[in-house]
Amino acid sequence: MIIYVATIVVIVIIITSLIAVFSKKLLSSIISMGLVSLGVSGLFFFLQAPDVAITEAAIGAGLSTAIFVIALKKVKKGETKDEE
Amino acid sequence: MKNDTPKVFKSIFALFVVAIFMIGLFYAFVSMPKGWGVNVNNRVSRLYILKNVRTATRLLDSGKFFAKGMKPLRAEVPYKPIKFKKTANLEDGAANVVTSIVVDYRGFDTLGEVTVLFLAASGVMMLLFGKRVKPKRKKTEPSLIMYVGTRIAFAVIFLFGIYIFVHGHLTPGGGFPGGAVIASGILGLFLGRNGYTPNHAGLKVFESLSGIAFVIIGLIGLFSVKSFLANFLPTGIIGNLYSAGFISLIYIAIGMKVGSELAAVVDSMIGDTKEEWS
Amino acid sequence: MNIFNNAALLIGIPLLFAFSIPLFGFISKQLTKWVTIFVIGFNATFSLYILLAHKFPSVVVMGNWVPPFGENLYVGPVAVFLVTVVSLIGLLIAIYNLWAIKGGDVTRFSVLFLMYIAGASGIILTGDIFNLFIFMEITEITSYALAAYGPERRALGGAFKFLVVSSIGSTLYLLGVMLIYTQLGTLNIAEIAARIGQTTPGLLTFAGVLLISGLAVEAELFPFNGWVPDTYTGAVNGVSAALSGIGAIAGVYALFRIVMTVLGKDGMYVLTYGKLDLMAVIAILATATVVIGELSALTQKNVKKMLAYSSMAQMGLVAAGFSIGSTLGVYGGIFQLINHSIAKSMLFLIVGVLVAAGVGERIENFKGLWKRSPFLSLAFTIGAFSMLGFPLFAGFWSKFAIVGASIQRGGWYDFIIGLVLFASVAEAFYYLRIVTYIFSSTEMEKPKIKVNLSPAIPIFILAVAIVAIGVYPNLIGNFSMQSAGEFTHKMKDYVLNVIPTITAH
Repeated sequence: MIIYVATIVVIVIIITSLIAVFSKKLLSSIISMGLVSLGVSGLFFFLQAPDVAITEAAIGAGLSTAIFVIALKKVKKGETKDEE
Repeated sequence: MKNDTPKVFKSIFALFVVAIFMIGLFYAFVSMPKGWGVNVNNRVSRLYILKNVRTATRLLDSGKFFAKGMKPLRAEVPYKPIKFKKTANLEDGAANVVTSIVVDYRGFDTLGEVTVLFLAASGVMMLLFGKRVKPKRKKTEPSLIMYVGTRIAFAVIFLFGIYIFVHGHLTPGGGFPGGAVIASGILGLFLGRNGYTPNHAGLKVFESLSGIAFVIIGLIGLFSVKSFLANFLPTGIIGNLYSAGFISLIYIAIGMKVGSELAAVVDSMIGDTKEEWS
Repeated sequence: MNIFNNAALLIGIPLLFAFSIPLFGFISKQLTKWVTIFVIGFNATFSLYILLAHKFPSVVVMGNWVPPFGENLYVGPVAVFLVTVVSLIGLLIAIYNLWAIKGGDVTRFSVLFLMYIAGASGIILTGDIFNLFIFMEITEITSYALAAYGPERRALGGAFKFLVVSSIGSTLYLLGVMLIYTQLGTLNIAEIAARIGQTTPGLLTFAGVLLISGLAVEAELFPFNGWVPDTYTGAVNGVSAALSGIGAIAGVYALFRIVMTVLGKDGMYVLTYGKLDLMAVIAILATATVVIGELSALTQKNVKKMLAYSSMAQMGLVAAGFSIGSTLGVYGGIFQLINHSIAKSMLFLIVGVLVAAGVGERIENFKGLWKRSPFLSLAFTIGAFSMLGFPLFAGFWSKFAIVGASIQRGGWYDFIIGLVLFASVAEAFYYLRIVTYIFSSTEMEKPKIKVNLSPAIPIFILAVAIVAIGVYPNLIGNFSMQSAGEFTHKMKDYVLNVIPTITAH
């Protein structure tokens, strides 16, 4: 049973990481990066590494996303113009 | 910056690099022996299988580092079951194996990791150093529900963070996640009210004192057990709160340090500063 | 096994004071710089004591777990010698910073500078590849934070470039460590060195390539050194001196500790796994580094950028010396490394004083400097002569040793003679150009430059050191020879000192 849940989580991770790379808006990139961290944290939990899962959830999904958003707000032009 | 290279070439180059990397990794994992047929004797120093450094050291000294076959080793080390809440005076005594490796066996690495975080925070604060200026008042005030809710949630989150690092040697978790949880609680306070500022000097002092505490615990080990970061307290009964020697002390120090540090980073990033060079 | 656990203080004391410097910062900002000087002075004294009283080799056990299980520091000839050099140069730069660092967040600067020295010492002392990664992180994080310090905008660009490159580098290194760990189940350098034969050869080659590309970032070898010119030019001069004088030592040491000891086979430095000879790869990279570095330095009109390219090229020479692989070659490499750190950090400090006096960084601005400040001109000339390997200056002996080693080794390694000669000619061209500018006369009368005591002391000491080594090379040579032995023919001692019982199999 858990293998199906894990498969779904892996698919979510792949999709969100692709969004993070190819998205034109930085904000959606950052948020999908947070989602990747959340998925990875769940995956760690399925792989029986709860210590790493807690750390990843608190730092990867929580704090670093928040810090990225703050940094993005500081850099005045939040959204990239079309490059080239 | 002007960029003349066509995008196609860049993409092809990037694909090329990634492909080389992937082929290497693929080859690495294919050529690795797989499944249960691994001959552990070749892969892992067999002494690691003993799960007990004292016995292993004794065998090391008697010159049996690579004895042939597993059987003689098993015969020499009789299997002794470890009972939760009963067995006392174990080598490390932490119920959480990850913690005992991270803080005790490889404590020096953890000290280094704490330093890495400290230096990263210092670097951020050095770059954002300057005179504090008042932000222009055009932010929307958060609603009353947000304001009250974050304050109530903060108490719960704070308590949970403390629980995580105090119970680091018993349950999953430890100093780093505990500190991060506390810092995210403080982040909630920032979101709840515009213009919230924690006590800067207090955070700084807290951060310094907990770092000093970590190193001093290490130095006590150096002067009492003659080895830096050595466990100088009795390990107690496995599973009790007061067990595993100095692990809980170190985790309390790490938790406080990481919490105050990340809070200070968030604070210095949220606050507006103006650079000034005299 | 000779245990001298107090050597852990070389890491412990700087950490203790680094954590408490923010508290000192509440009292006075000037005090934090003095604390830095005090702590680095302690490190220098202690390591000098170990070196001169011959308290090595010894193994420092961490956490009371014997080496293959816990972590250990290895205080061998190389480690003691290099830590002494690192902390002495660090001490001198800290004295210079007393005058140079004003404005900005001085407290945090002191923390970062102190931990830069401690991290470099940690890289050199440690006996564990994962611990080496952690100290690498410490030095890299501090160095890009330090490089970003300063009022100028270009500092940020250089620091950012270094951040990106070194993050990728340390990730690659970590991946290599992981591959080795899956194979052997250990992270201890000595145990890996003894049991490296048990790994799958192809995988080991891949791991070796990953490790080398990760470590070459800090050792400034060719495809990984794009950050060097911008970071060195952008940083404050004291920081540039530290980057070229201290970071380079740590980087080169880490690279060759991994390549020669960890990937060395059964106490030999034979490095052929499968079809790839890692030492030949390094020789090729080193050659490319020297050629590109020297040719780029030739065209520079900005003195600081020229020094940056020159230090890139010098690192190439060092790596070429090491890649010969014989004891004499490694001796030449280490000797060249030390000479380069002394001379290059002195040159950067001099440029710092000149820039602060309003002379500027362009090469034309150096015209008639002799009239304005004889002391600085003389020191700059000494440094330049040492760089290009003029006889009776320090650099001559190390270049001589590298050439001698390549003649002794023979075979296709003869091309290193040509490499050294090419480097010397190019360096002579661009260093002597500055020297002629310095001693040429100008019509315009400009005011004399007053040098404060705080920058004058380090410059004077470094200049005297260059001349002293040039006149009496054994001052450094003996220690270098001892160190070279640990890398080559005495490598078995390294393994046996750490784990005495490992040969029982």
